[in-house]
Amino acid sequence: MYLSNPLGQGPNPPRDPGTRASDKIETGVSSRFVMSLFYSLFYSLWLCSAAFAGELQGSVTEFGTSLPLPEVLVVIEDLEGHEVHRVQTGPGGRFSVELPEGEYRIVLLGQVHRPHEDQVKVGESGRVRVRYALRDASYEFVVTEDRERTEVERQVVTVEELTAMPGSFGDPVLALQAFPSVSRGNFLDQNLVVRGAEGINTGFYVDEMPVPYMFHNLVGRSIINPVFVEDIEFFAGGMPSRFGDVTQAVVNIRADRDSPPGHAGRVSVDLLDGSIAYRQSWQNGLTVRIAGRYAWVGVFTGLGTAIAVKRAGGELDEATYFFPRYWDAYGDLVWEPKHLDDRVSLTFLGARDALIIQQPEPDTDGDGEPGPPDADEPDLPYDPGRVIDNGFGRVRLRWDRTRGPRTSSSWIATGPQMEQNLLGSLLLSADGPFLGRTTGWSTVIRHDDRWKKSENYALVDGAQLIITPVRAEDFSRAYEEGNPIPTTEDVQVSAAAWVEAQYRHGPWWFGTGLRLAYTQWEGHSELGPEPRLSMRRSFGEDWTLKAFVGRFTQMPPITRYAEGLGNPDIPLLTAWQFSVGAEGRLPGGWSLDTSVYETEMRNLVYQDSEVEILVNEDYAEDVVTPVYIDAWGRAVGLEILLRRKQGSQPLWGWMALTLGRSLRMDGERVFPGDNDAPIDFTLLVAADLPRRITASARLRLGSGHPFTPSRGVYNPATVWYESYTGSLNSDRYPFYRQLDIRVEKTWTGRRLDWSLYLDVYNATWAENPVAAFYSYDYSELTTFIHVPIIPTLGATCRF
Amino acid sequence: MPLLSRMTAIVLGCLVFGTGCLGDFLEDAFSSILLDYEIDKPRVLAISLDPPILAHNVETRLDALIVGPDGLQATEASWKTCGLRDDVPTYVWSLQCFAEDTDVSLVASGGLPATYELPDLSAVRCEEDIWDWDTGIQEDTGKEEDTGWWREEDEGIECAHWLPLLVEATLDGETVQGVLHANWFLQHWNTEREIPKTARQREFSLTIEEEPAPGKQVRVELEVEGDLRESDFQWYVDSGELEKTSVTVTQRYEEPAEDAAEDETEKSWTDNLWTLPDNASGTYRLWVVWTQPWEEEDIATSVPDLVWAQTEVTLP
Repeated sequence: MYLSNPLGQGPNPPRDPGTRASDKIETGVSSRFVMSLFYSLFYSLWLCSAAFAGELQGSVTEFGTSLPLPEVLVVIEDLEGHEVHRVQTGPGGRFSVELPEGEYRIVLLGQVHRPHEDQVKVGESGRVRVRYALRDASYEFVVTEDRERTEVERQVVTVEELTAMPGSFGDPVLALQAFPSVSRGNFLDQNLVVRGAEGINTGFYVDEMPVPYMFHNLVGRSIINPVFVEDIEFFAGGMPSRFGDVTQAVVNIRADRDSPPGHAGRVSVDLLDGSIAYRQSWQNGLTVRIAGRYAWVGVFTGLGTAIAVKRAGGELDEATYFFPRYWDAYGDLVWEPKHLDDRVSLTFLGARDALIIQQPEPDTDGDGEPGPPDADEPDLPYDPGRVIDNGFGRVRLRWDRTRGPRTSSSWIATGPQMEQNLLGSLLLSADGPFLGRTTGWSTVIRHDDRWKKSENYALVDGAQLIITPVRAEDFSRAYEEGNPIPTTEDVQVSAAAWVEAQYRHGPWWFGTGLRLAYTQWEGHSELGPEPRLSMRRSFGEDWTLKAFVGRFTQMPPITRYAEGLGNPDIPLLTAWQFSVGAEGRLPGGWSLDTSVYETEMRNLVYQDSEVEILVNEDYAEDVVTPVYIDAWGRAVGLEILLRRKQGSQPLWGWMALTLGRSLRMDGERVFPGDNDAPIDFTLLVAADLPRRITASARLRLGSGHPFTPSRGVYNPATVWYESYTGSLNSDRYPFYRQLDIRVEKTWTGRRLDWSLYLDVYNATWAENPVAAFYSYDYSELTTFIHVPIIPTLGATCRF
Repeated sequence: MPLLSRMTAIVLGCLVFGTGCLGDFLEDAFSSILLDYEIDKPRVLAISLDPPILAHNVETRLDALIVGPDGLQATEASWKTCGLRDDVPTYVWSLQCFAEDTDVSLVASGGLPATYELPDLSAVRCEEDIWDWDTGIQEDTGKEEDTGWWREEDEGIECAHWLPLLVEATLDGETVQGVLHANWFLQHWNTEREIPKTARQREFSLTIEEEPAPGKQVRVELEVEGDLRESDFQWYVDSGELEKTSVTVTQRYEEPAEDAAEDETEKSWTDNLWTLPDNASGTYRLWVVWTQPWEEEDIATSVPDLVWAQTEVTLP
């Protein structure tokens, strides 16, 4: 599936002093940074002006490479078929025509790309911007799971749909959760769960560069500023050979590569955070882009706690406060010399997430004043107040080039990463380190080639090497005598080489790939093939059948095998994926996309408890110990996506339904996986109202997550209930339900577009349990933590 | 998935949502217990072993008070334990072994009450720690100090298993369970040794002092032979309110007068105030459960000597 983003496309006006607010980012002082956000916002609002009536602006790029396509003929007709205008795209792939108000049919005719038709409405707002990405014949359908049926997409529409997604706070990546078989991981998890696999089985990439996580914690946005997102490659499965290292899904954020001379930017402020992004391009092919985001939601959580404490009659200095904090930063320097088909870029990407808990200092000596510190307090090698502390940074040097039929890219990226979790795995499923910390430094070297042999044949090859020295510390016994902290140090190595032939024959299209993957971690080394086969068959203009089969492998994260945290004997995670499906166009602007999938997973690790009566020399006793089951899994399901795209009708939206199971097997025992959801349903209804107001609502219903139940047993001697746990994941939380609402008003001016929005997450305040515990007699589940209603009022300005 | 144990939830709650929550949580839990006296679902209220000794040569009467709404009361139950081995003394601390059948053995089943006599387990190795029944001397070493797997402060503990005794019954389609943790003596009970008077053998009476009527509060008094000033009394009713909650203590205690007859004993009293529902009609039951202190401290049984009394009112 390809999703792309219109937000990076500003109208490209001449440089204006009013856009210099973003320059203040470079001072790097946080307070000035925050001030600059407000300054930029309000100054930008002041600059907003009346719409320029009757202008259609557009840009045309090549799908996949994002290279601007000059000399593409753009024919504009009225709905009766009379040609109104025709124009060719310029060197930057751009065109602009003035049109009276009305609806028009646009035909794009490229020299080596397939033609495309579209329909646009030039309304009272005056100016309409469109973007098209034309696919050449051989690149088409590289992604088997590609959900965009048409060969040419008006990408702006697709991401507008995502950006308008209620509950995603305008973040197109976060909105991926609304697709079939996709859900966010558990509370504080920073990943996506796809087709019943685990969160760790979804890989996150930024321009093919792997990153440790994609989302800020809590209900956070993605770590990439939307303004620089060109498109999103999302594979729910069936990834082509150029992707590996994970066994289920891939999210690849592709940064905007369109950089016509001039500048553009975006400022966004709401109750959660503020962000600013700025791009400046020069005629000599040099482009600088910077973006940053800083969260202030912690101010509101602290304020809320303080108000609650005062209302309850407590003292502020005796309360415990928690502060979510996060930031991210992005910057790149790109040089695209006009006389060469080369592109050199230096990119920086960083993110940090923390959940800080500030507790009152106890009065240890009873003098009525806090302190002194307890002498028995262990000297911890970590800050116990930072219960979540994750972060990473990457610097990448990349060289892209085109030489005749060959398009290549080579890059090296390196940077640190850290993950600390002091809440244990309970709130984080099993994906985070179990009460511990991992640190490491990852270096990636990669090369990709694409050879276009003919109109019907292309070859993709590449190689990649990842070296990650990593260290894991288990803090679960840090408070015991001697403060033991088991530590595991390792050097993880992952190397792969791949080749994939893509060829078309009549209505058939095939992608046949082979990836050879080598992995090495503590005492293990594995070398194995990963064959992949994609196939599509067109039936007329509207319908296509598709199929995929392939093998995937994944090195276990260190948290799965480090001492104290996991099972040192865990082997390589492997999976075979199978899928068949159909996609097609229905009357009334509707489209249908269905898939039936099956994934066979091996070497999954599940934590269970095992009771054993151990016989010692002269006595026996029961010992309950955690054990790590080496299970295998099977996920099967049916996905249906019925969709009406934005733009075709004032009322648009989609319905995503997934029926499936994700089971795990351990010998003869069969139990549901942590993310087993027999039914998952999303309904998005959106309406484009007059005066550029978009109102939308999203309803999500789904099976509750499985959990391992406990049985209460009354002990009349103690007048208390004891318990023992039942079968693994044999019970389920209540049905999940969530309603999100969003209203957005957009103004378009000569130099600025700006919008105000109200996004209400969980509008009905449904108490979907994130974590729960039993009542004292184990008869009822009590929701302990749930995500409440989160109304967010925000403003965005693009220039 | 993140189903929290109660203690983990408490700790996390304290971490995330502020100090004082531990106290709040426990207070809530205890409040729940104090107010959870109406039988609105099947429940195990009491388990009685009479005598409270599990040993070879002792026939123990196993009984349980298992009730449900609408007048339900279990008349059958099954009794299980876990880890009943015949080679070495065995400690089973948790109930987790009942999740699997591997080490579970059926003790008794059928009508309530049942009887049970521990099989001859004298072959179980306790060589290093066999205590002489009368002298408390280690037979193998001749020393008083402990040399085995139990601690010095556990003086009086016999060579015994420490196992849970689980009772299970099904009422109205719902299975409920209760448990006691007990010493299962591995040596034969010295039949010459007299077993003290148990709670069930003591006199008690439960009386409702006023004529009951819908919406009326009646005083219910329990009179028990013995000194129960250290005991709690748990009260349960089919419906209505208990003014003194579900737990009361001894409110009056009398020692026999110096010139009292020889068969007169000390007595304890407790009471509660039961407000019947306004629309009460039919039969309403009331139960009181208490523990009789075990007087023979040198018999190292850990089984509480539980007993209960039951009464009922019938309204037109």
